[in-house]
Order: sequence, then structure tokens, then C-alpha cells
Amino acid sequence: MREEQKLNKAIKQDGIDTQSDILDELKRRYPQYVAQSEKKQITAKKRKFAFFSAIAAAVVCVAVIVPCVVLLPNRDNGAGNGGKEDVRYCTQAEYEKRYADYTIGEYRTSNNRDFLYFDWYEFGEDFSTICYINKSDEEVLGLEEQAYLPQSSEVVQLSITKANVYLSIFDSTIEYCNMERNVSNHLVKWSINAKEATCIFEDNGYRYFIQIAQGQDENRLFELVAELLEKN
Amino acid sequence: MNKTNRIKTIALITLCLPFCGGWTEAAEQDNRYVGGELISTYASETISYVSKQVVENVTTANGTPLYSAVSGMQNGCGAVAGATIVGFYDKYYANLIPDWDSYYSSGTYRIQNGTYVQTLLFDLYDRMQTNVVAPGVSESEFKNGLKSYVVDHGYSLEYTSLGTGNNFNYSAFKSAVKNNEPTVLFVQPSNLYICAFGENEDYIYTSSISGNHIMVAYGYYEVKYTLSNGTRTDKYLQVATGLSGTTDAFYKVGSYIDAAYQVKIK
Repeated sequence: MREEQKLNKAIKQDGIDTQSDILDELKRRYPQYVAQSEKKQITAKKRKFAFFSAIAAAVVCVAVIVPCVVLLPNRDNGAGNGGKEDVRYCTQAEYEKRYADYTIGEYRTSNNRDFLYFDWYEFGEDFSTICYINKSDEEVLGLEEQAYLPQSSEVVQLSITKANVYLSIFDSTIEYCNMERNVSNHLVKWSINAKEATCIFEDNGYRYFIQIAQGQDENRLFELVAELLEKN
Repeated sequence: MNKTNRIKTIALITLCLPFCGGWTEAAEQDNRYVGGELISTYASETISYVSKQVVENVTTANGTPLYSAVSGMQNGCGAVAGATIVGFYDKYYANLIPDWDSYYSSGTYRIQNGTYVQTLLFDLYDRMQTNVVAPGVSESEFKNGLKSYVVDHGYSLEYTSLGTGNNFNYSAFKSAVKNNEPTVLFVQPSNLYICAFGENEDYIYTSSISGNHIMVAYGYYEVKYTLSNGTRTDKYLQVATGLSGTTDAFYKVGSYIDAAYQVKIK
């Protein structure tokens, strides 16, 4: 303000009228003030540019990045193809166990899913399929199939959930399968006790539990895992 | 008896009546068994041993079937335990589950069936009057319901008490197992154990049952560890828990029980 007041005073004293004359006279008499003034104008433009750039960047973030992060995984939810999803824990109060009148293989085909399963329907017996159903919306949260294999006189149980879904009934199994082994490039967590041999592994967005009755050793579990991974 | 004494006596009886009624009611009021679920499984102990010897690992022939409740059976642990007993004896008394065998030719008990076992479960659920008087079943409702099912299918059933509270008769239980007879346990919220084997280590995992529960014991397991600083022997009952996810587990010998009955069907 002081510079402006000085300029106004000088202009009045010298009787200069037109704008161009004023500017010329100013440049001649006070070159340092005029240069500062022009610099200030440039800085203000830069500030405006930076301000609008920031807003534009924020808009781009909201419009492009957020949908990428949030919406794309949700498309996987709908397709049920095992994409990365939020971790979901279900207590026993939230779901119920129901017998199904189809096999896991039939469910996989009719619902266009890509999980692994044992194609044991030709040589196995006494298949029993159980669904774990969300009480609130009837969503299938997990599948379980048991079969008796007469050749080896063993009962094998396969349970499947999405990798991000944790059903409370598997809590203890997840807890006590504390040994690790690599089978066909998959990390298999396993346990054997006086009752049964059990293992857990994940593949392509699904978690698999295999259980066989006591009397078997862990190698039988790993054979079954390899078989499951090979056949699909 | 003069008039004053008579009045005093009547007054005394009148005063005592409500208490007598209350006492009778309390005696009739059994614990209720609702089942519940396994909660808070955690690794409670790692036993590092120099050597391990399984002293005894005895079960009834092929154990028992491993059934669990299905949809529509709220508080159904009584029916599941009853069905386990019936499934066990169906191997010897074929009409217990009509038109279906509870076992394979190898002797192994069959997988829980969505038709026959489900029918059996709901039949027992109704006979035991599950959730009628109050949630779950009482000890007497369980016993009467199971007995009525067995009798209606042409057989008889005997219960033999193996003790209550901290007085479980372990040696009688062992005899029952050797006699190929399972035992029904009535327990309060308590712990089940999984003993996972490692290399020179056993990992004990503990899970808690959330409510009063009925389950079937069919064997015993005793293991002696030689440790670097001594020895220890662990003793467990082997139980068909009736709980989804962990249908087969250990129950510690010496745990408090409300009641235990050896069950014989003939």
C-alpha cells in the first residue's frame, strides 16, 4: 500500500493523464515497484492454477481411483469367483446347516463356480452334501461333502468356503492345524491327532478343509490335496 | 389334644406347607441342557517330551456314529446324543433305524444321513419334548424320550448311573467301554480337548462348550509322557460331541459332570 500511495502522489504532482503515459512514466521513474507488481500478478496466477489443479486431482481421485479400489472387488463378490474381498466372520447364530439334494460337483456346474472338488461320484458311496446358509439372505457361505471310499474303507470330508469367509465351526480346525507342508506349490497347514487327520489350504480365493478319520497318516492327506489340485 | 394345641398344630402345618411345596418344586426342577457351540479354541499347552507311551486307547467297536444337529433343531443336543446311541446300537439291533444300516460293511459308522438320521433326530427331538417346558431338555426328558423311542422299536433300554459331580466312576466307565456300551454325559459349560501330535511335542487345544450339554463317551485314552524333568500321565474320555465342526474330541477325566449313564439296549 505504501508503494501505491507513493505512486498516486507522484502522478498527481506530475499531471500525467492517460493510462499508457502513466505506465511508461511509472516504469521510467520506479522500475523496481513496477517489476514487483508484475511479479505479484504472476504469483497470484500460479496460486489459482495450483488451487484448481488440486481440486482437479481430488476429483480424478474420487472418480477413478476409488471405483477401482472399491467397485472392482465387489464385482468379484457377485460372480463368486474368489476375488479379494473383505474378511467376513460368521458366528453360529448367523448361519444354519442344511442338507442339500445336490453334490458339490453339481452345485459347481449349475452356479458356474470355479472351486476345486473331488470327482469321486463314480467310485465313492454314500455322499452327503451340507450347505452352510446365511439365515438372513440364504446365501451359501460354505459347502461340505462327505463320501465313503470303499476301496480304501475311508470316509473323506471336503469343506469349502471362500478364502475371506470364516465360519465359526471351523475355528478350532484352523487353530489346531499348526504344521506346514508345501504340496504342489500350495502351503498346506495340517494336524493329526488320535481321532483324525485334517488339513487346510487355499487356492484361487477359496479355502479347503480335508479331513480323514483316524488310522491314516498325514501323507494320505497330502495325496488328497495333490489329487484335488491336479484334477481341476 | 385340647383346642389350643389343635389350633397350634394346624397353624404350624399351614405355615410349613408353602416350604414343602417349594422344596418339592426345587427337587423336580432339573438342569436344562441346551447344547450351544464350541467357543474360544486356543492352544493351551505344548508338551515337549523325551518319549511318549499311549498306555490305553480303547473304544467301543468302531467308536460311535458322529452326528450333529441340523437346521430346525434349536437346543437339540439331547436329540443328537440320543441319535448317536440309537445309531450305535442299530449295528446290533437292525430295527432301531428302519430300512437303513448305520454302518458300512467295514464296520465303520456311516456318514450322517440327510433322510434317515434326520428323521431319527426330529423324532427324538419331539419325544424328548425339547424346548417345551423351557429351552433344551432335562435329564429326565432325555432319558424318557430315548427310552420311549427304543421301546417303540421293539427293544428295551437300561441306564446305569456312573456317578455325578466329581464322583465319576472311571473304572466302571472303562468296563462299560470294554463291554461295548456307550455312556451319556450330562455336563455344564466345560472344556473339550484336541491333542495334536508334533515331533517330540504334543499340542493341547482347548475349546469351551458354551452351554449345558449332553454328549456320548465311547472310549478312553491314557498317555504317559517322559519329560526332561519327570513324567506325567494324561487321561481323557473320548466323546462324540454332537457339535458341528468338532464332532470327535477328548474330555478330561476328573471334570465335573452333572450325571453319567451307561446305556444298554437289548
